[in-house]
Amino acid sequence: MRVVVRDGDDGGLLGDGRAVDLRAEGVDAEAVRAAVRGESTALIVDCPSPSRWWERLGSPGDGTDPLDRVVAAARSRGHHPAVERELAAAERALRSLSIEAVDTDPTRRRLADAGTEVERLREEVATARGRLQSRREMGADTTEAEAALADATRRLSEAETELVAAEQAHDAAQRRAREAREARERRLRLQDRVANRRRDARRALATEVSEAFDDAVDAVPGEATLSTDPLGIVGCEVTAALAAARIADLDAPVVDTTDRFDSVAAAANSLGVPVVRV
Amino acid sequence: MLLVVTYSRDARTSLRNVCRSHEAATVRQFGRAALLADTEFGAFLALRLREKHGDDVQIERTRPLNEYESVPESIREAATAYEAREQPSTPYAKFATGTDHPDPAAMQGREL
Repeated sequence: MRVVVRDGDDGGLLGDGRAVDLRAEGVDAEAVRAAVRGESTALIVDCPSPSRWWERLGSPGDGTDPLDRVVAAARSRGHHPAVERELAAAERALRSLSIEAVDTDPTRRRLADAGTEVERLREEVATARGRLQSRREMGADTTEAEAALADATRRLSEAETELVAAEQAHDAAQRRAREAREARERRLRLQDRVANRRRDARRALATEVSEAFDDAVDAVPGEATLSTDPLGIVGCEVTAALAAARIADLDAPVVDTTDRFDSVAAAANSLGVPVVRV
Repeated sequence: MLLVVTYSRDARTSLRNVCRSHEAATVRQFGRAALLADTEFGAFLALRLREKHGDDVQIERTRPLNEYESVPESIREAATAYEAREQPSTPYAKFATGTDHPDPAAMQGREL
């Protein structure tokens, strides 16, 4: 595969071949990436369309997690671990799960308010009763005190009715919330299953390419080791990124910003794909 | 105490972080649930979790059970007698038949 890089404005040739060095052209990595994707008019890069794994693998040193790169490299080579079917099933089940939102906040507040109101009115009734009692004992006019007691008693009775209604509403809301939690419980189990299967799939993919990865590390500058248990990469992230790019099936060129190679030709040889150096 | 139960991975992670950062307010932590102290601070932590994760956080208030205060004697005796049964394979319903011990359905229908 050859890569041809042209200026988008005047069509001038900036470089071509398997190893293109654009350092003198003042082009940045993002511009080249956009051009590879075919999303740029300022810069034209003629190359096959990148595979779907290129985004994760085509730019060593861009901060992508090294393990993500190795996993993507394994996928680009067509590996499909059996656990991916279970993962897909769990993801489907998770998507199809609907969770009812039950807001019990209003019923809790109503219940608390109703309880407070009943307490307050009980005290008011007691006070009104005491006042009536003492006016009777004094032989004073009780008309007003009786009316006040009757009024307080009526309001207490209304408040008690409201309290019962609030309790019933709260109980019903709590029952609905409890039922809705069953679905949330199922969702949590599915979320855990998806996470576990995803981890298993990543481990299986990394295991598939672990020998190829070790060989690739020998062919690129630096040191890195892929461990499958615990799953992780020890050593230099850039080395791991270069090794992952070497074992991957990328179609499109690697955009190299790493300074790890003596020349862009050496980079293209080492990675086994065309390289655009910026 | 305040029982906090979580129903999502994010809520569970938050709860674990809260328990780790506030050991004094954490009475016990079990996986995705925890018992927080029955203090204003315990409530503050629990409400923060609910504020952040909504219905994925359930908060209940618990209290220790004093069976001598709240559980009828017949129930306590039935539990003691059943755990002392001779045949470990006898289900409780069968064990209770023909005795003074309460039957399970009757117990289920009566609130404590």
